[in-house]
Amino acid sequence: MNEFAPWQEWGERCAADLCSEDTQAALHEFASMKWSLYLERGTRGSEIPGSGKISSQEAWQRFENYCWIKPTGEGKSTKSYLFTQLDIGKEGTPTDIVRASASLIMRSVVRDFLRHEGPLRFPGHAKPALSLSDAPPNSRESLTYEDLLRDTRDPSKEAEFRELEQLAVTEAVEILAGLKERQLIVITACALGIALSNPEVEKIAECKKSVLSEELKKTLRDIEKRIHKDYAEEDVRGRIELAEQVFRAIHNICSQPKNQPEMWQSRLFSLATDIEK
Amino acid sequence: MSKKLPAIRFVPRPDWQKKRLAEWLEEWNLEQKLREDTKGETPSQNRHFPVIGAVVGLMSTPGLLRTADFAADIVRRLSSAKAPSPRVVSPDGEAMRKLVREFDRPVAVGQVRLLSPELTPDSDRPVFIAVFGDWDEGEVLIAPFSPFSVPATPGEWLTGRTTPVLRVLEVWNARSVPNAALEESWLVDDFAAVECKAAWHVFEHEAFGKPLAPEFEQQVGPPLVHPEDPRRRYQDEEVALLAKFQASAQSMQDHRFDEDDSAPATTEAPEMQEEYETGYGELLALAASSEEELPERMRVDGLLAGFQGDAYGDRCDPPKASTVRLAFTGPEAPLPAEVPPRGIIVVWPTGQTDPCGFTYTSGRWRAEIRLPLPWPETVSLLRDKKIRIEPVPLS
Repeated sequence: MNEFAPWQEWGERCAADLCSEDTQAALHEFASMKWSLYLERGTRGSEIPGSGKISSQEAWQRFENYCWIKPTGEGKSTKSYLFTQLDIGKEGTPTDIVRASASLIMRSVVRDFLRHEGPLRFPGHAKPALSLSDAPPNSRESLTYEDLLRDTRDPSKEAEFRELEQLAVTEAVEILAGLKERQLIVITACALGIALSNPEVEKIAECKKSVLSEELKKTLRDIEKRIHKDYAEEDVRGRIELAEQVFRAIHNICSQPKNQPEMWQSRLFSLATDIEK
Repeated sequence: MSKKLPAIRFVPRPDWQKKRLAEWLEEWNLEQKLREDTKGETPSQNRHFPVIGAVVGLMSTPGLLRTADFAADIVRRLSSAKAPSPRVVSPDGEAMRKLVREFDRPVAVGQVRLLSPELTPDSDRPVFIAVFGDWDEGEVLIAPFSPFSVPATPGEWLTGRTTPVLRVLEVWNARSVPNAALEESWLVDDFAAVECKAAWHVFEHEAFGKPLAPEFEQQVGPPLVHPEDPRRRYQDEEVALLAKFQASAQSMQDHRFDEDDSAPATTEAPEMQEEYETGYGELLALAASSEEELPERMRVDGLLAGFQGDAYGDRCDPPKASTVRLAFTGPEAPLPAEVPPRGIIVVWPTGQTDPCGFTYTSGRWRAEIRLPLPWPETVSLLRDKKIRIEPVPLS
């Protein structure tokens, strides 16, 4: 049997159940293989009992159920989607191309299964539901999911928040006055949207982009540290709010043209204008 | 001695938002796990995920710095050009006709459609969209469905459907497209009038900041405020998978735009291939955006008498640019010779745009003006009424 034949037969008929036995066997085998692959990947680190496995027929049925919007030709357009992949210049044999697309759909089928049925099918084995005190993968050490949904400003304290914004401007002015020229150059360049890798910025600052990049990071860290230190007795959330407002104020101050600019400021502003043009 | 802050106070987020975020993140993390080792399985050999802002943590955590590796994690956009060869030996024409249904026409509001894979070559899933509203003449408003079962943000609506691929509509990812741009798609289901109305309601909330009706409050996702939130990467991916479709739709729009008028076109092709570097300006833009949920669009009806319009950020690179789109809405469409003014500039406290002209198309005068301002800043300026439009002569 030609290896594309089962897919072709399935494509021409309504569902795998109406296809020949050979076709059904081939499709079920495909589904079972992909199901196992993704199941293993999705449950890595957990021990899945034998009962968690499903028959190859069920794997295929889940695939079809996921694809079908309704039991009509229209509702089964995902089939047309799969076979149109053959006609858009992809590499590989027709079987490879259709299987690759179907495999990606199967990935979603398994994700849905693990998310909604996994805990029932693998009691005691599935990973417990996510906790908001967990850290997102690949994130900074002490960031938690809960940090993603920070508390909001209390609207009854609007006047106090305005006061905080004013305080941030004062802090920003003070911080900027204490920075060295190179620090001011990197901050201004970035506030003006000029990349630190721009050769003109390197010339103005008289150092390489890697040094400038480090300078920027260090300056930002130092500013943040300073705020946390100066307001050490205040609530953390308040300090974070202030720090954000200080950064906004620095941005606003640095991106506004000056009346009596330093030479480096003039050069950066004219560079920004050139880039904009 | 430690300095003092004003007596500010914060309100905790409701529990349902936390629960929904946890559910969404669980699906997202599972998806990341399942994606591992998928080399060779993705339909596109050039799959890529632009990352906007997700690499910069913005002082959200006590004692932590937010500046880790700005540039290092930025994924540059890669070309999505198709592999040149070898060409597939597909079943012959007759066999293909049995396997593939013809595309369904006409396109109309109230349809659920599946886009042809040719329009979504970088997608790793079939992309279903809802056509949920009329837009300008010959254009409709569409939004794709999310691959997940839980709404990610306030711009995602839980449809109440049980079909896995139609559970959540990404209203935040809505776009107006010419009907013709959807002709290479299959009609798969109806989108009932009540569903269109609901999607439109969420769209108005998301785009124009209209209050969300109480019954919708728990049918959408939790707010997106933190620059390191994984949902930003998800949004980048979702925007990117419509890039080719959008480029094709944009080109049709531009063509229509140019057809009736020889004036210089003011629209710009999407800068999908442009490389960018992150920087402090973006950090600050994100700082601004982290204050509260940022609308995707804002109405700007009062900016120029006779014109209505909206402003929106560059979805591919929000810190980088904003766009203001205006259309004339007089009681009757003016003749080309009657339009006031001939040219305009957009002015804000620290800058202004170059003069720009209007073009006449589909019975209206239109202008699309690109502002070199990060979207959060544009929002702030619009809210503070610090942006204005001034007529200027055009040479």
